[in-house]
Amino acid sequence: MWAICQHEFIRLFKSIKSLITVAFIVGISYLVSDLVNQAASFFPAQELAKGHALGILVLIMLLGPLFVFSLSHDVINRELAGRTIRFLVTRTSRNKIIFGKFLGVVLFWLVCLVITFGVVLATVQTFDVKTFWQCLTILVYCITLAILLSLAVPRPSYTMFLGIVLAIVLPGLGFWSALSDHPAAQWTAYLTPYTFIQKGGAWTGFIWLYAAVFLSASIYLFRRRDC
Amino acid sequence: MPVIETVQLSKRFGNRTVVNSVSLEVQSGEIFGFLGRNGAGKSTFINMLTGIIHPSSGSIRMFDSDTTSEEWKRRIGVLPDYSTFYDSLTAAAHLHYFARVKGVSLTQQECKRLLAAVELEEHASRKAKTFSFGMKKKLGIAQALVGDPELLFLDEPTSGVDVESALHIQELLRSLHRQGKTIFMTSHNLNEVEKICTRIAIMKNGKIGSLGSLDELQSAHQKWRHVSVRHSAFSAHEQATLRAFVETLGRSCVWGDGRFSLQVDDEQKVAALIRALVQARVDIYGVHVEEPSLEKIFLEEENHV
Repeated sequence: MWAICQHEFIRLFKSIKSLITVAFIVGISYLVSDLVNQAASFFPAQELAKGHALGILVLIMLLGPLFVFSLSHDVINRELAGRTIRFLVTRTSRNKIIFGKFLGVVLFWLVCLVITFGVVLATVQTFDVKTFWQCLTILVYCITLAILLSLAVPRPSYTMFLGIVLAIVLPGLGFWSALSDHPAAQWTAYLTPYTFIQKGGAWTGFIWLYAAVFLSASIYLFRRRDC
Repeated sequence: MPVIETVQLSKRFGNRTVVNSVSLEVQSGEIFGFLGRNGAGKSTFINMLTGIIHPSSGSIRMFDSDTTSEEWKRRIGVLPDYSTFYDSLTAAAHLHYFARVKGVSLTQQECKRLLAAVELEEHASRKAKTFSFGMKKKLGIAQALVGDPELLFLDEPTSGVDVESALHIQELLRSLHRQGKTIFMTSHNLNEVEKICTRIAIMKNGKIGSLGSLDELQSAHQKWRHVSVRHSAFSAHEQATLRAFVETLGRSCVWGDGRFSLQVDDEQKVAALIRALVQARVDIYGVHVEEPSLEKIFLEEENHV
């Protein structure tokens, strides 16, 4: 499991697409921090500290799904299509393959977040643990959904397309649910992580519950699947 | 002790039954050759044994225990039928990665030894994506040997490699057999199977048609043996007497100048023929009993309805 985790982590960091994504997030975070710093005189100190990290949270809420789906939409089906998965399933259990992939992708995003929050810390000497946790929670939700998508849909080209669609639909649905008075918005709000983030506290646990359901469904699908 | 045991193993894809109730035992230390034409179900069968695909019905036991726990995977090495590798990894990095996935250690020295065994030691630091088909096949064999497995599943180990390399791989398989490894292999190269396999199964339409050692298959498939004899000249009277005797032994007798041939259905009749010639004081220059080749057996099995 750890070998697969390490392999996935290194693979993501070696990809140009990943490096551009990381550079984009870090760059935007730095710009937001700088912008908040310039407006420092208009805000009290406590609000200012939140403001720096808020930029990253908004970025992750809006573009997090797109980042995750664009980099990991084919986390499993790439290996199924290329048949490299056969080298793995003949050596270790299918559960360990899924967990290894999951941990590898999570570790990549954890490092990205650490770098991003590190930039904020270096710029304005603040580290908002709560926002860090909220960003990680949203990303884990997206990662497990990407793994499930990658198992449910066999072709990487299809998951690329569906991933982009989901990356637009998820934040769209989330924000529509939060702002709309439509009766459907009351229940659709609970399909995306945004309402739980908004409610905060123990509600974020539901996002982790969703992640656990997606991961369990992925394991179930993979265990039944021929490679 | 059987290292592989299948009971009524079947695989269906939709309405099509690819493997149909195959029960088979492979004993420890065997080189088991699995033959069949394209689409006969060989790869599907091997893929079920190695956990790549799930059986539709039936059961598999490995090393005398069921396959619910994953421990048996540490004891096997697999060369799948279609080997593609990671573009970003070198040959050596592949072996190290696969060793770590398997949970075994692989030293630099062992890695070199494995690559040398398949004549890839000079290409250890080359990325696998730059390899030819034959080189990928060799890397596939090397990765199957990672962790010193007791049981090897090799799906067409020499297909797509040059003649010299194929002979080298055959020698490698023989040497692994001498070390006590069990090898379960499929191949379309009947000559190779004939040379190295201790037991052979011929699969047809998802079922095993014939099973046994080469000798057993030859005995089962060849009722009539073709015997040809080269001898010294004999008189017309001697020839008439011998001819009458020879024709009682077998069928399709053909008489030529200093030679004759016939077909007999029993080995004892070959001995009787030689005794008769000796008693008649005929000098025998050569006796050739033609055994059926695996190719002949295979074709006979394939054409058998």
